[in-house]
Amino acid sequence: MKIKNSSDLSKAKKKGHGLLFPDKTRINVGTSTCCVAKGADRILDAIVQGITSRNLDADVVQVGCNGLCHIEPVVEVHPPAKPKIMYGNVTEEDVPRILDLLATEGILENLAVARVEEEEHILSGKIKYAFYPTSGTCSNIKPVNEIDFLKKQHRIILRTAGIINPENIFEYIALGGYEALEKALGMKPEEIVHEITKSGLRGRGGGGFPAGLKWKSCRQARGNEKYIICNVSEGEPGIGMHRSFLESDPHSVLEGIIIGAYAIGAKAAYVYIRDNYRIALKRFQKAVHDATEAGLLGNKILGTSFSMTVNIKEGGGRFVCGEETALISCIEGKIGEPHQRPPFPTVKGLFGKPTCINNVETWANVPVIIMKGSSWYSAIGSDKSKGTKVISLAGNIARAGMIEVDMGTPLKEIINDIGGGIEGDNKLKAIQTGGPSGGVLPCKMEELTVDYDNLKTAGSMLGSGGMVFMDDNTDMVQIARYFTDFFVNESCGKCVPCREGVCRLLDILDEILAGRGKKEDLPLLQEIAEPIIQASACALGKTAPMPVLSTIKHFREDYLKHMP
Amino acid sequence: MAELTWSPDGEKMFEKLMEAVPEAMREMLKPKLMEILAARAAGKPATSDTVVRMVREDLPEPQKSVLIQALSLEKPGGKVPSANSDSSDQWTGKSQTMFKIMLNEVPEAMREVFREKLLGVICQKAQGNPFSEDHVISVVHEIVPEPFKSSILKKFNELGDFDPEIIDKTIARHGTTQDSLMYILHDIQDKIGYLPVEALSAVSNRCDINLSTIYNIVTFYKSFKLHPQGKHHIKQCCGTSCHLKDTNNLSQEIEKVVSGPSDTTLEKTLCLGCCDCAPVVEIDGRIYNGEEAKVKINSL
Ligand SMILES: Cc1cc2nc3c(=O)[nH]c(=O)nc-3n(C[C@H](O)[C@H](O)[C@H](O)COP(=O)(O)O)c2cc1C
Ligand code: FES
Repeated sequence: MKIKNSSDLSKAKKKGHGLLFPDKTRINVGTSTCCVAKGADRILDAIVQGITSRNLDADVVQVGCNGLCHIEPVVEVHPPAKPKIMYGNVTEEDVPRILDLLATEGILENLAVARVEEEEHILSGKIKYAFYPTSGTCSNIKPVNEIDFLKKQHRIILRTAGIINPENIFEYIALGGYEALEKALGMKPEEIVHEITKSGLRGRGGGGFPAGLKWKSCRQARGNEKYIICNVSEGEPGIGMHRSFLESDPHSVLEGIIIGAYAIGAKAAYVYIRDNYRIALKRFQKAVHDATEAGLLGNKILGTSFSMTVNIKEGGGRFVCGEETALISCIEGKIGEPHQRPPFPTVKGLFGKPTCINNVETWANVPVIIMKGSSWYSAIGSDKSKGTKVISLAGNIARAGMIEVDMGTPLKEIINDIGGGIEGDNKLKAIQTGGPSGGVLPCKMEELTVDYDNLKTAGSMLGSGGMVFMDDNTDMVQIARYFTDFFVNESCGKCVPCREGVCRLLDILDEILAGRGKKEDLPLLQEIAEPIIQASACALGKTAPMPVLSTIKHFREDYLKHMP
Repeated sequence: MAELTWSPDGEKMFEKLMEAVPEAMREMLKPKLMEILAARAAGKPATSDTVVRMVREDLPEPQKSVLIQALSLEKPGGKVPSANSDSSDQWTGKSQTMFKIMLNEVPEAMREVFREKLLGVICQKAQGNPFSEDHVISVVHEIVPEPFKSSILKKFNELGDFDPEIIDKTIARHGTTQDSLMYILHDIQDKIGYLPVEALSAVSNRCDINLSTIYNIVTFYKSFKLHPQGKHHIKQCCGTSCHLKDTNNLSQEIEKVVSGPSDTTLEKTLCLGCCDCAPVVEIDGRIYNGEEAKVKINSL
C-alpha cells in the first residue's frame, strides 16, 4: 500500500486501528532483548501453542518493552471492547491458566499487575475501553496509570512502547504516526528548524547541545550534499535504552530522521547501531523496509518531490565510536579515532560533507514537537532543559527499568516513587549518572532535580540518561577502579595523556586496593588527573578521571579505609 | 649457428606447441622451428616468450592462428581473460585466490607477462568451463618449476577451509569501497565464525585496501575475532550494573562449563545493553538474565 496523501494516511490509520483493536482478543507479549533475557520467547511459544490446541480465536502479537523490566516477562490480554489486563512475571505454568480463563473473560487476579481502561495517546488522543464494574474480581487490580512505577512518569517518547507491534507500520500510524511527517512536508524547511529551535530541544546524547542550533548550522553550511546521522552507539555501560527505542518503536526514530533530513536538506541518513543489538537491528531494518514500501521513505516521499534514503551501519564494539567524529570515521570504514574539532561535523563531516549527527532519543522527539508545536513542548521540563528524558534505572534499585519523566524531576522522586527505593534492606549510597564519564553522586544529593545543568553543577552529568544506583555495601574505591579500568580498555590510544595517564591512575588505585596506599596518593591522583583533563583531544579522555575525582571528593572515607 | 638452450617455461611452451601440431607433421616441423628459435634466442635460453613471438611473427597463416588458439593466447572471440578484468564469475571455489598466490611467486617485473600466460593455460584446461581449483593445481604441477612449485603447493594447503565464495558474494553485495569494509567484515565473520587471515587477504586483494589497514581495523574494533571460536560462545557482561549485581555466582558456573568438555569460548565484555535485567550473559547470540543463564549454561 503506497501512501501518497492524507487520505491514504487515514486509510492506513484505519487499517492499523483494526490491528490494534481487533474483534477478537489480542494478546501482547513483550519480546525485546530484556524480555527475552527473562524467557519471554518461551512464554510466547507457550501462548501460541496453547491457543492452537484450545482452538481459541485470538491474535498473539509481539510488542516492545514497556519499561517495566523488573516484572518481565509481561503479557497483556485485551478482549474486544474490554479493559486490557497486564500480567507480570509470567511463567510457563501461568500460561495455561491465563488461556483457560480467556473463554470466560476471567482474570488471573494474583498475577495481574494493572488494568488498562483508557489510554491517553499524545498524538491520537484518548482511547477508552469499557470499564469493569468497580466491585467484584477486578477491583483490587489498579488502573495502569495508578501503579507506582508509572504514576509519576510522563510518556512522550515511550508513548507506544509495549503497546504497538514495532514491526508493523500500520500500528504505528494508527496512533498518529507519520502525521508529523505529512505536516512537516507541508512546511518550509526553515520553519521546521525554527520550530525545533523554539522548542528548546537539547541533544540527548550527553552534551545537551541545542538541536535547533545544530540543524541551523548544518542547513546553512555550504554544499548540496549533506548527511544525517542517528547515533545508536550506546557504548556507555549501565544503560541499554537506545536499544529499547529501536526495539519498541523504530518508526518514531525513523520519522524524526526523515523530517530532519527534509529540514536540513539531506538526501541520505546513516543510522549507526552498536554491533550486538540484533533485535534492534532487525526491527529497524524492517521499519526502513516497510516505510520505503509505503512510500514514506525513498523516492517522492508522500507524493512530494522530497526523496531520501536511510542506510544502517553496524558498529564494532568500541565506546569511543559514540563520539561524533569517531563515529563518522567508523561509518567511513576507518578506525574510530576521534578528530580535532573544528571543523565541526555540521560543516565538514561524513565524507567531508556537512553532517548533522544526533542521538536516537533526540530524533524520536522530533515528530512530537512538529505535531504538538514548540510551545506545547517547551512548556514541559525545567528552565533550560525542555521536554522529557528517558532514564534507565539499574543497579541496586527495587524497580529497574526504563522510565520517562519531565526534565527537572527531583532525583528523590525517581528513586523512591518510581524506582521503589533501594532493593532489600539496604540504603542508598551513591548514584552514578552519565555513564563512566559522568560522576558518582552521594546519596545526600537526592534533593537535586534532574536536568543537564543541575547535574553538571553537582559534578556529574546527565549523559544519555543512565542511572545506576549503588547501595551501602558498595566500595567506592572498587567502583573508581572499575571505571578507570574501563577507560584504560576503551582509550583509543591516540593521545598520550589519556592512554598513559589513565593507566597510572589505575596502578595507584590497585596499590590502594592492595592495602599499600599512602596518604599522598589522593593528592597524587588529583594531580595526574589534571593534565589528562586538560590535554586530551576528545571528551573520552577529558572525562576519564571523573570517576576517580568524584569518588575522592564525595567518598574520601572509603579510600582511607584501605590505607594502613 | 648458436646452440639452442631452454628456459624451463620455454621448453614447456615449445612442447605444448608441438602437441598442437598434427602428429603427422610433427617430426618434420620440429627441427625447422628449433632453427628459427635458436636464431631468435641468439645464444640465450629460449623462453616461452621467445616461442610465442616466433609463432606470432614467423609462421604463415593459417598455421599461425591455429597455434595461437591452441596455446590459448587468445580466445576465439576476443582477448585472453585477465584476472584483472573483474570477471570473477569465471572463477569457482578458491581458484582465483590460488591463482593470485601462484602469481605472487613470480618476480614482480615478470608478473604481467606470466599472468597472461598462465591464464592462457588455465583457460585451455578449462575448455570453456569456469576455472576450478583443480585447473589451477594441475597447472602448478605441470608447468611450474621447483622450488616455486613446492612453495606454491604449500601455500595452497594453507588456504583456509572456508568457501571463498563467501567473500566473493559478500563483496558483490556491499561493493569494494572502504565504507563497505565494516559490512564486509561483519558478514564474513557471521558466516565463518571468525576472520581467517586468508579471508582478510582476499578482501584486501579484492577491495584494493592494504592488508595492514584491514588488520588495523580488525584489531581496533572489539567485535572482530581473528581466531576460531568455540562451538558455543559465552559473553559475560562486566558492565556497571552487572558488576554491581554480582556476577560472581554466575562466574563460577561459567568457569565450570568453559573448563569442561563442551567446546565453549568465554569473552568478558562491557555492557550488553540489558542492564535493567542485570546480571546478564549472552550465550550463542541470545541474552539471558541470571537465573535463565544458569539453566542454559548447565545445558551446554
Ligand atoms: C566518548 C564519548 C562517547 C559517546 N557516546 C555516545 C553514545 O553512545 N551515544 C550518543 O548518542 N552520543 C554519544 N556521545 C556524544 C556524541 O559525540 C554526540 O555529541 C551526540 O551523538 C550528538 O547528539 P545529540 O546532540 O543529539 O546529543 C559520546 C561522546 C563521547 C565523547
Ligand atoms: S551492565 Fe550488564 S548489560 Fe549493561
